[in-house]
Amino acid sequence: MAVSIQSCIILTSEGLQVVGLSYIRDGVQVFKDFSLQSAASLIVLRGASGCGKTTLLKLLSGHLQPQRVEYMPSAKGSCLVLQEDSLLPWMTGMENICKFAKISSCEVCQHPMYKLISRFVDKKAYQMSYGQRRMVELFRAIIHRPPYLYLDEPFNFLDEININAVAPFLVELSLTGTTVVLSNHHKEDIEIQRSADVFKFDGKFPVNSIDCLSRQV
Amino acid sequence: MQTLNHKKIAQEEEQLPVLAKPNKKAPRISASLKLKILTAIGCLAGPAIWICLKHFDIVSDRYLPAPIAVLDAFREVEPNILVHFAYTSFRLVAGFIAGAVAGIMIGIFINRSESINRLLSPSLQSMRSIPAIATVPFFLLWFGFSEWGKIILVVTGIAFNVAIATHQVLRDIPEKDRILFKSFDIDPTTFVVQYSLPRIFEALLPTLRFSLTTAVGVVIVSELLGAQIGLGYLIQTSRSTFSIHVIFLCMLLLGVLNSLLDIALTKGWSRLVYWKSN
Repeated sequence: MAVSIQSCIILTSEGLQVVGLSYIRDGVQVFKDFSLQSAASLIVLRGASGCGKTTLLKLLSGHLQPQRVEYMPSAKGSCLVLQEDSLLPWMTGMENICKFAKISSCEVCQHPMYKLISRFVDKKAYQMSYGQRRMVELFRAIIHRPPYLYLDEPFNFLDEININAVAPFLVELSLTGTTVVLSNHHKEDIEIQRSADVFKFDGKFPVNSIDCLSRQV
Repeated sequence: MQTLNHKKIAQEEEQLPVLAKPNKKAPRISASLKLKILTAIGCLAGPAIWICLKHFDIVSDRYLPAPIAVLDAFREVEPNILVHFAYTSFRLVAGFIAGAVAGIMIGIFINRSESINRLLSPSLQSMRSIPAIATVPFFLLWFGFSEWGKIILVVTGIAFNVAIATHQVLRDIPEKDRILFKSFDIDPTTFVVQYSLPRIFEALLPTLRFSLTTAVGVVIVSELLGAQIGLGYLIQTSRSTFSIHVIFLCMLLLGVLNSLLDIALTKGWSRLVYWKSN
């Protein structure tokens, strides 16, 4: 699927650089002098469950504090979308988007990605399926345009069609000033793979570095 | 194209082990009917035991009145027992609703900032630990026999507990919600209607049910000591005249009142928190 770039100006993001990160959780040294360098604006983290992907995303977004770090991007303004559904169930999808992203419903309807959620966005969140809630959350994160967007398993509960529908918008977001870092198990996201630096955790602790499987084309 | 050898298939089927035939009889009593029967037995067991105890004269009238005497008390009491019931119900319901609302508002207020919390929490904790019943004489001196005094007494009896519980609910925000608010740079204390109230409603039902029982006790004690109408007043005057059947009737009506309000609270709350039952 081709990426349609909405703007003629491609804003460069800062990529991602982490130097000397150390973090201990529940007595386990998860990261020790961990370093990661990528000039890409779209980064994919792969690895088995429990290898530290979510912990790294929480550290980068400032929700966990490392014991020591030499350099890490600022967490100010960054946005983290967890695996768990975080829509407020008593609000509609539209309210969840407008109240948190601080935009009007008109701006929501004008976004090109709106067609993917228009069928169910006016339902209360508790009435939506898990896949529909995930689509609304991704829409909200994308339309918010933070400087750093961290996504933990964003394609959970989504079928192949929806993954392929959402992926170009994430790619486009990464080309317009946002560094997107996501952890992912799915192999269907060909568009993402092609456009990203892909790193893989080996599952051993403490994590000192992670292998780069492929670089952004 | 292969043709089916029906003879061979039939021979192979004959050699298959014969499975036991399923029991085609439907259950005689469904599970839901069993539960209803058990509930009915639970409701009727107490009166049945009572009737047996009196029929066989196992307990004297001094300790346990006969069921007929209790039913006769309906006609004996002046004004009508239902008038007393209505006054007690009004004081209880008005005080409970006002106390719950006040408690929730106080809990939201002290959660606004850590400074307000540090300033007010010690006083709230102190007042919460004073038994509401112990403050009855104090309110009688202030308000006398007025209705306002009894309602305010119920309010103070439950509001502080509800406030502390509300504050605790708002402090214990789930991790995913904290991440959500931080990601979009929103202070959760500013989302009172959209976030705080629904979260409070989700978690507050056990505290409110317990507070309802406290409120019943506070109302009755206030009527015992300072009222001229109500079930508590009726209990007090019946004690003076050794009318144990009237006391028994009042206790039964209090039990009915508490049960009805508890059911109404639970059902109303499940409608308020509609997203959890779906």
